[in-house]
Amino acid sequence: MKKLLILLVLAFVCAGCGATMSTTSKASQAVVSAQGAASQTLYGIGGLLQSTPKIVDGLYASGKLTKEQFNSVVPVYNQALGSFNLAVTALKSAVDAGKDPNQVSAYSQALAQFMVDKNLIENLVLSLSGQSIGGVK
Amino acid sequence: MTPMEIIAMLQLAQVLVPEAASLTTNLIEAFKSDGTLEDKMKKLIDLNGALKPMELKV
Repeated sequence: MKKLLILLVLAFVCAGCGATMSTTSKASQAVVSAQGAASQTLYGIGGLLQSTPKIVDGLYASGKLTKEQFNSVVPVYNQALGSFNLAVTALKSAVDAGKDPNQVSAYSQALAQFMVDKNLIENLVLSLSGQSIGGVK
Repeated sequence: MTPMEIIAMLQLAQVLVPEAASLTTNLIEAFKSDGTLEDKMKKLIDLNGALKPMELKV
């Protein structure tokens, strides 16, 4: 009888542990997925910053942009670069802390600012030269 | 705690608690794919480091 009681207690404890671990497992997987998705997204959009100087230099070299037009792109690009830096730093902090970046306001704000700046540089280059930089990675 | 430490802990749990073997296997797989996250983060940080400000034409 005593052994049966011990087995019953153990069964309840194990069941409890299993439920807790299962919940923890799902939560961990969700956070890791969110972190992976965020890093991929940011990397994908960040590729635009890599190609932009080459495209703008090419436009200037071919005479499609004047020096003044080229120079008007520079501060907008540098602003986008700064907000990209902030978004990457915020994402790294969220990943290091084991947090879902979408739940971290520093990351959400930095990403939102970067998206605004990214659109500004895309629209500026498009309006100055007719050249789209959005599709180039 | 690093992903490798978590994996080591889960592997120990696999041995100590055979009933939870399938659960710990899934967790280990999840954290192994965290290695992929590290790769993604490294690529992102490398990209961030490679980007330089543009300079004005004078």
